[in-house]
Amino acid sequence: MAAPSSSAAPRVVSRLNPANAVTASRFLTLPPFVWAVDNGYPQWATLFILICGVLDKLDGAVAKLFDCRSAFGELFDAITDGICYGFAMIVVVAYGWAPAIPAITVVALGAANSGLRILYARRVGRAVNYKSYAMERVVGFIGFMIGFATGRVEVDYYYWGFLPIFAIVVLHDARRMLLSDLPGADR
Amino acid sequence: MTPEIVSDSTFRWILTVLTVAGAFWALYDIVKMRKARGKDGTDPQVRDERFVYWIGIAIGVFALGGMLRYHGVF
Repeated sequence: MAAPSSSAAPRVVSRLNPANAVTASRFLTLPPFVWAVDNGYPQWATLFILICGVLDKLDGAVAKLFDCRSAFGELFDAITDGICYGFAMIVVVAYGWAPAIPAITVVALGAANSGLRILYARRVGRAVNYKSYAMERVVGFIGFMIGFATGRVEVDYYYWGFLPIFAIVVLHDARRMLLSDLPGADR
Repeated sequence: MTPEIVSDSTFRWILTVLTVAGAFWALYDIVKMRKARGKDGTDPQVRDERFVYWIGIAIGVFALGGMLRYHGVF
């Protein structure tokens, strides 16, 4: 006779859940965003990037509501942030709506941060995403930055001025992920 | 589909309201920073928490500064 289990089995959350569906739906805003920029419709472009940002806030709420939070969901959310905002940033630069040097540097630093997350996961031996609240704040602001480019709002001020703030956060995260023993998640 | 959804001036004010709302949300970190004042500053977790609040405050001030420039205040 098998011994009774001393603890309940961990709850398995399917990857096909409402929160991940909301996260994935953010990709649907990219083709109309490109269409709007290509046609020179700044208000439409701003609207589509705004929808992308609102969906980013909504997926966390949906995960709580349907109790479907997972490590994969967090990672998928971070990857989606990078792809959506990185792509939109490149589009506004390509159409001359934002200065190339700061925008491309932000995209490059974001990519470097993603690479460090992989190194961190290997170093601490877990697949859980590195949780950086500072990075969450600056990534949220990058959504605004794209809106400033499409809305032609003080573009040079925001793009050049944001660069040192973003660089400080990337360096801070790099130090923690490469050197510190402090866990990046579970706070 | 028309190129414009709203008039230029309405669009300008929508962007302003959204940015100012976002900036104040970031500046709420001032309150959190004050609450965290009594915590042990040698604890790396607390230091990281404070760093996050400083970044939130910097973003809030920076965003408001841009809006003031946009409206020709300076």
